Amino acid sequence: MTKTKNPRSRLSRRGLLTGASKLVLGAGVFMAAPAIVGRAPVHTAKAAFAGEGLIAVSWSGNYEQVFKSEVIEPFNAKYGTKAETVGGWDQMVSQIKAAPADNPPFDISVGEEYVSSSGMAEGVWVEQDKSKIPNLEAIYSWFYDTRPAEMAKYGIPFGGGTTMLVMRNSLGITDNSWKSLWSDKLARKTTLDGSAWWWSLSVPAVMSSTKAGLEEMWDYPDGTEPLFQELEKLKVAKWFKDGAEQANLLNQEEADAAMSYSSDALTFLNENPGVYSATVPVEGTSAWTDWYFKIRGSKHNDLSDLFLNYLLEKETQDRFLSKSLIFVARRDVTVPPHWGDNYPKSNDDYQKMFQLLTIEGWEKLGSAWNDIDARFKKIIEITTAG
Amino acid sequence: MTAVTETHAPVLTTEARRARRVERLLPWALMSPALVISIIFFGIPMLLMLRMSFNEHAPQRLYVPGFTARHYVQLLTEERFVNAVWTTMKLSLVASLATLIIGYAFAMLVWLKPARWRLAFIGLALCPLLISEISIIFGWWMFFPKNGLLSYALTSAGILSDKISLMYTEFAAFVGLVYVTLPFCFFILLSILDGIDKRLIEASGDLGAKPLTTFREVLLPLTWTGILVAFAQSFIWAMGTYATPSALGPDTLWTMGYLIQEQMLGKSNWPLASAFSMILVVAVAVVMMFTRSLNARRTSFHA
Repeated sequence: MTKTKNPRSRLSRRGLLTGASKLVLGAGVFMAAPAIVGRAPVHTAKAAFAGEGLIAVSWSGNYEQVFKSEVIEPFNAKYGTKAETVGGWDQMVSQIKAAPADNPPFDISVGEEYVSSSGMAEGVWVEQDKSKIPNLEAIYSWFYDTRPAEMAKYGIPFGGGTTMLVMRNSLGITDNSWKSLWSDKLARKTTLDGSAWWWSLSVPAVMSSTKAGLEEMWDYPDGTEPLFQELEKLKVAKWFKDGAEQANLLNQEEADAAMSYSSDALTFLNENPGVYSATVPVEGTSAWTDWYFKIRGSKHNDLSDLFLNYLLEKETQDRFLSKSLIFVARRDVTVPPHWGDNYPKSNDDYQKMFQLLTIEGWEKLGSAWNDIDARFKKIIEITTAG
Repeated sequence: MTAVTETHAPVLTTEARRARRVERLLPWALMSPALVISIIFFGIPMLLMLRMSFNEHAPQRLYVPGFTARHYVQLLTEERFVNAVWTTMKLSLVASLATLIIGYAFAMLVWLKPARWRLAFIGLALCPLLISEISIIFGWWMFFPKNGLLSYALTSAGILSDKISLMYTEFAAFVGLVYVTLPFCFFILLSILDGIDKRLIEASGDLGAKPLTTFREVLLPLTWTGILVAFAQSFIWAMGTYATPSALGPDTLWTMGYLIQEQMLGKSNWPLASAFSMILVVAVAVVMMFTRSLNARRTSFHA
């Protein structure tokens, strides 16, 4: 009887090595599978997305610095990714539109109401699958209530900002009112936004009690003309064109008071401790909301979902809130001391506190854009010293 | 009877024809790399911009495909745009002339000075080119305001009793523009001066010409082409630069460059921005043609 060898029973070194390498390959495929077939669960995301790049546009200036230190860097540390942020202002939609459709310059972009609707009109945003952003359950519904349903399909709300009154403390002006900007004490010592003029126009609209919210602004010329006339009474040192110019005007004492933005204010105050105060005046304030959108053509769709969900994690929102004066979207955040008792605690609070420059408002403003722009340039001619 | 003289065209051999063809094509072949680059990077974008300027625009949109001359009509009839054209032309003209005078004087200084000084002066002239325009603007922001270096120096020296602010004035915008354009002007003029034999100046002096006469009769004609090129270069830069006049000048200094970026980015109106850009290009081209015609006249006169 001839003894035949069972080939399966043979254990050679080559066989062992081949088997081991197949095992490693299989394990690798298994680990990477979530990233290939869809969003990776959090516990496997680090392996799935390690080393992958992502470019997110945030608002330029102080906001960008805070976004980098409080969002981007912790995100990279957590998931081993190579995410980065670039500063943007109003040019994102133009840049995306100008680039090839399948190779956009960014993967994610911030947008307030104007950028949001402009991006949607140009078709550069990707509709957001909300099932991939579980943290959306923890946010105030006000963010969705204040924009049209068609628009709410895109992006996720992160937070928002307001116009603020910045005042030099040494002046001793304590009446926390927008009216201060018109006072004789501040004649030729104020600065407002001459570039994004709609925020300057919102100041008399907030002060006016003729109509609710910023309604006067949407009614050109009947509603807007009284606002223009109010602005014509200002005696401005210089209308600033960007945050850097505003900071320079204040630091060089060319101006003592400014209509500023919450996205910039806290860093500015921290850099000049005790010199300025930044407040939401008693009349209220105009506001915008910050949404983050996925951009069409991006090669990092799944990582973008992970990032957007990360934006809404409690730790992320807490960190951002502690370093800025913007408000955020989550309900359960830890309110930092610089907000005092003034932080909104309900949907009603958001509704009452923030007079939003809404998407519907922008549509009305847009139809009279050139006329208002020309009128505003006349106001600058009349009111400026610089 | 009239004698008829028949003239026969010379019969060209194949080789002569080939030589003539090569002679005709050679300049094109030599030019072709530059021509291709010019067409790809300047010609095609220019045509695209021209086409964009005739598109329609709707609120919230960057542009809507279509065909209208409305934007050109708007630019030529609306006061704020017409004013911007004149403001830009005036500012650029004055800044370019000032740049030319300063640049010429500086280039002459470097040309006439001993070689050991030359490198230091050239390094000095290179400085503005090594720094970004934004950094230069921040520098001026530290220099011109009431609490800036200039005011401090003037009050400390006892020249002024009160602090002075030149910030946000047309003068500040003018100085900023001259500073940005000066290096280009300087290097063009220096390269022209380097090609001149310095003994001509000595010869002119030996023949009894005063320095001013030497400058007018010898140096000016020899550097005329360089002057025109330097002026044109400064003018183009001054016309297109928008950040410097916008950051240093007064609120009401709306230049073409500023309004183009405002329409392009802030107002998302690509067709209007493109139409305005085309007008800017045409304005620059007219000035270029004018300076070129001056050069041609001068050259033919001297010939």
